[in-house]
Amino acid sequence: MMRIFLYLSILIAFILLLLGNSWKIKKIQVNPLVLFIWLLVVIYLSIIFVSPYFLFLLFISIFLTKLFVSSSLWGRFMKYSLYTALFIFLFNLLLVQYGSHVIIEWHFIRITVESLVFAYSMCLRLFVIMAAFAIFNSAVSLESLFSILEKLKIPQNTLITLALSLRFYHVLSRDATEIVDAFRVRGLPISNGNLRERIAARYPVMVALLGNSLERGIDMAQALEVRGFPSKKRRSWYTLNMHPRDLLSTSLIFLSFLLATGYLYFYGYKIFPELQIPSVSKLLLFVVISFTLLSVMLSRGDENAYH
Amino acid sequence: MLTIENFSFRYAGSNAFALKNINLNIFEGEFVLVVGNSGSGKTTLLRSINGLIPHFYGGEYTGKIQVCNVNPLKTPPRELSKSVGTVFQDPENQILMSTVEREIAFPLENMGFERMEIWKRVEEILEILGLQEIREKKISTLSGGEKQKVAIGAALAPYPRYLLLDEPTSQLDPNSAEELLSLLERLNDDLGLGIILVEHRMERTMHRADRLIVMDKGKIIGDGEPRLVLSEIDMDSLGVGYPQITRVAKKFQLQYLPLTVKEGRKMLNQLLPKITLKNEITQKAREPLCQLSNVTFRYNSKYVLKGVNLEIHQGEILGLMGRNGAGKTTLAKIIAGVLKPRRGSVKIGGQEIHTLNERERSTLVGMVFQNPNVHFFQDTIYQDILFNLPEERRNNVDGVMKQLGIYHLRNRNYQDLSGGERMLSAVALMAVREPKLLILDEPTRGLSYGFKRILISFLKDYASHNSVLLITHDMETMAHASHRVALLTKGRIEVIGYKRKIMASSLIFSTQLNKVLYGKSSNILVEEDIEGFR
Repeated sequence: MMRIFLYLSILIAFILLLLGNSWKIKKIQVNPLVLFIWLLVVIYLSIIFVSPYFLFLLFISIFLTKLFVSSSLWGRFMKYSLYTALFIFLFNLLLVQYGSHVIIEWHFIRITVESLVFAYSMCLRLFVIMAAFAIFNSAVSLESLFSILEKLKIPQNTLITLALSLRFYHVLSRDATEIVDAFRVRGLPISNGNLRERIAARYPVMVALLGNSLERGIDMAQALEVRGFPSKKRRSWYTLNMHPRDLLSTSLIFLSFLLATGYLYFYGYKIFPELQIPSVSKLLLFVVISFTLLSVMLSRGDENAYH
Repeated sequence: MLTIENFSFRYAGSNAFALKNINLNIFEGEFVLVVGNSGSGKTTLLRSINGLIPHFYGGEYTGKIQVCNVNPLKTPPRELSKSVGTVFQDPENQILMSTVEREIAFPLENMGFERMEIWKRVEEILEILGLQEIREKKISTLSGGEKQKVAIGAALAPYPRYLLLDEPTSQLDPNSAEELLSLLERLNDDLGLGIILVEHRMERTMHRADRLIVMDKGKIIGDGEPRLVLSEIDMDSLGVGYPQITRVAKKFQLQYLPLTVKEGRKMLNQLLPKITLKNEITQKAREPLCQLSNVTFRYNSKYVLKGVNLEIHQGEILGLMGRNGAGKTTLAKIIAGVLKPRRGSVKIGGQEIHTLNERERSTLVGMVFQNPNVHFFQDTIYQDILFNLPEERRNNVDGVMKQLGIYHLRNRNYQDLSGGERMLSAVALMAVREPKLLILDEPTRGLSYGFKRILISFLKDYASHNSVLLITHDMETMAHASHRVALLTKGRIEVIGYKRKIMASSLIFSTQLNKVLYGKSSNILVEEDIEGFR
């Protein structure tokens, strides 16, 4: 039965990845701080658990969250995850040769049931992390994220550097395209030459991009100065308030964190040398841990705060 | 009150003084226009007022500056920003947050204002600048004009007494520039905000200013009511220029110098007897050099070009105009071979451009991009020009650089040059290769009058043995340089022909002088079209 569950999970995961982008029930504005804590816990859970059963349930929990906290980035993130997952799957399948149930053994290739399941788990881990980021990045603006980090006492200079890097990522990528085009017009064999010529042709592009970025950097530094930065008396416009329902939501997320840590401490989980199939009671515990995370939807964005 | 007394400054590592013995009083509520050729010290003057000099740009100074009872030489710019707001040239490089209202709130957060006060001021600024509709929009989705308005908003949020603007319209199209300058006029009128504006667009700014300051080689050589200063100083020889109609009136020694089309029309009776159209040698029709047939292109699902047909003749300068986002740059990149059309063909000298490799293509077509910085990467511009240049073209280099007036800059790095000098260097870099077709995408943005004249003269010479496609919003340059003009609209070229046929008596696609002479000598586009005008 557990094997059927495993096969079915593969099918469902792919359906959700491919078709889930347009599915949406309602848009809930969740509290950015609670969502940030949710994101950290999801990443923690996806890293400490290797069980495909748990990771699949965690993925379903995130997908259900996505139906309510709609994500405009879901489709794009999942598309890139699928490409990456393909490499992760093959890489793990060919290089991880442990396991007792051999399917194929030919020269240096040794594929076992366990390595197959491990490769699947690694892909699920990627999907979980990317899905959580797709939700977080769509629901929380850059400024809200900085307010969160500011609240966590991350230094101002680090935050502004991070903010500028994220904002100027698009500008630099546009600059890079323009520079490549400008050098192609000058006859540099960027797309038509042989491999050596093409690699050599990238050098001026990189130097030009660096020069442009340095100049932008100086301009930005001037702009920061005349906008009063840095400042010892800086006060954030955005305030992050935690209401009782946000505290309840955070407590439940924390409970999920404790249950997961406790489970691994007492029971552990192994794929090698032989795949551990969880009992029904353990599977139920997996369901509780993953679905408790849905409590993030109890929280609400503060109407009085900015946004 | 802003007071500068005997102020001189030279940058660290430089022998020459960028500002020499400046004496200036600017009252709150004045609209001051600062003009001067590249390197005259305009930007350095602004940096001295907002405290970037000496706190950001180190150097040696003498003299005194006082802005609203604060000494910028002793007070860092972040403290001074309560009294002086600054807006720079490139909107992209001065907006630091990712949404409109967060950007406006950013300086207030830094200054430690109470949350309620920030709310109040953000609301006010959004209202004054008409940004309410886009308050939550991401900066990356805004147009250049909107970004520059947001930058003004951030500078205004601390309620400064003076607003300094360093060529704020140089990256904008004419409509956005006009809108921005009108906004500054309104802020000056309604709020009594002192405006100190450095600009090259004479015809758009001169009539708005209460006072004109002319700078040359670090000194103030003219200061006063714009008409008086214009009548006393030869602005053309300084490379600064006049509004077109002012130049004509000055040439014909009219006592009252008109600055706008409206003032020019009022003086028409005085002007008309002196104005006749010069005889023009009509150009013979020549063979087409470049042929585009049914060129279609789309970005993702949005069609930008929908079947463009175009011929560029040998030995002509074809001007291409069209509103922002019409697809002019896309079309230029397709002709240059860096973008491939979805359908249709582009032939230059009979060869299908997209079947050639980069090296072969570069002998047929060259393109100077809107942002000249993308062309440079070496230590000196001379090395940049020589880079990847075929041996047989190396003899051209010195001649082309001299013709463009940048030979003396050959050992300088591009980052040490002004925007105009960079553009002329980029033109040199492409022109020394002598492509049969040279494309220039908005080459006059932010260029002073002097540089425009050099560029136009160079292009005319270049087109005597090759062809040029000139994309510009600058109607004066278009009228001066081009033989024919084309209008790109709705992804097609529906309007194309001899420049006088298209531009004369047009409401938008025409020059200031032509608008003044509308209905009288309608074929005159530029001063040189007038009989007896040198």
